[in-house]
Amino acid sequence: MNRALLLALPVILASCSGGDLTGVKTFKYQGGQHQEGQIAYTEHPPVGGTHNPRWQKCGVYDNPLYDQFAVHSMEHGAVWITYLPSLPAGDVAKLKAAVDGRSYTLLSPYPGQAAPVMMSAWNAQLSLQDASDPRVKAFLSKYEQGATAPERGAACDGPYSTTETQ
Amino acid sequence: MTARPPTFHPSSSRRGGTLRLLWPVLAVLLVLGGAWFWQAHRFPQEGSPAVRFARDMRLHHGQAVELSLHILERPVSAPVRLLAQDITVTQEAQLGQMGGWLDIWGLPFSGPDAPMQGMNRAAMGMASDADVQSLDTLPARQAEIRYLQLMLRHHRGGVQMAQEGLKSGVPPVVTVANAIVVSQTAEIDLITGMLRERGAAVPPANGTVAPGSTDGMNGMPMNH
Repeated sequence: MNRALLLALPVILASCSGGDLTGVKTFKYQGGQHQEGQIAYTEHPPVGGTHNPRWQKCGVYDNPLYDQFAVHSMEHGAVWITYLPSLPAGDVAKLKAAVDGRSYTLLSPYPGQAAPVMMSAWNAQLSLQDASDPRVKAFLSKYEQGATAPERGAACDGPYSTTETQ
Repeated sequence: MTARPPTFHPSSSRRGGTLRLLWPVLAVLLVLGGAWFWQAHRFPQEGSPAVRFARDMRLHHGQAVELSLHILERPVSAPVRLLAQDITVTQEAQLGQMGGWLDIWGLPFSGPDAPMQGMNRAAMGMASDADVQSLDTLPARQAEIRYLQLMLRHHRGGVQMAQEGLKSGVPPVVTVANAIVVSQTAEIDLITGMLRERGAAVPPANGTVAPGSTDGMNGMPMNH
């Protein structure tokens, strides 16, 4: 009993230390399915599902990405931060600062999405009105290479990347 | 069953007295034992050297794998191909081990800050994006030499970081840190020999070479 409590304690502490993450929607996609060509997703940006055999190289992009490559990166543990093209440059700079030095993140504009800033990981999504929201860091802390990614820790770089844009 | 009158034991009250005297001693022993057990079985906490080492080294190893995957796409010589395959499988396995620790310690892989935050990444052998891209664009023979030079610097930084990990005091961390020191030190000698065989410059051990120098190692921004 004592030992069980000891073992559970770090988990309890870790779940408390991540910061406030209210508003995160969760989903139930299983990983794995590969398919070439265009793929239609239910969520925009997507949060899982069938994807291209190639994954999008993690990094910062100034143009929109194809969903089916980014989903593969999310399967490997990437967090995809997207923003409306109308987001002020100062706010985009804040998002760039938030992902600086982090190796499992994608940042790109996403025309037509439902909120100014959205954060997507495999089976988790958060809509934000403001790039300075403290939940940006909390979401990264929990979901970047997080426990929901089916293949977390698999590379998000390497030569098998695409930089095609819409 | 008929109830028997209680019998008087003259010694029992005395034994009770001794026990009463022993209780505080037992309590102290229990507290000390509990404290020892807690200390011995406590997992490394957020912000501790062991946790920082796991996350920083995962990033560092990840780049060694990345560089190797890039060069494996090129038509390079057999010894370089073998080295790149060896580095890929070794460092990918160690990456997995370090992720496993974080899992068991109940901590996220990525944590609140970027890995290697506040460290001079270039001095720790991290290659720039331009360096990584150069492995795709240089002619194969030059790309192979560049890979060896980048990997030499990368290993030197890795050994330095692993020596820090040796001080973490956490057994599995010390074991892996030691394995990294041993294997990467040996590989530094191997790579140095491979560069000499190819008549290529061996980057000096004190870090970067000035831009435009003949050995093809570009200087890198020293601030991250």
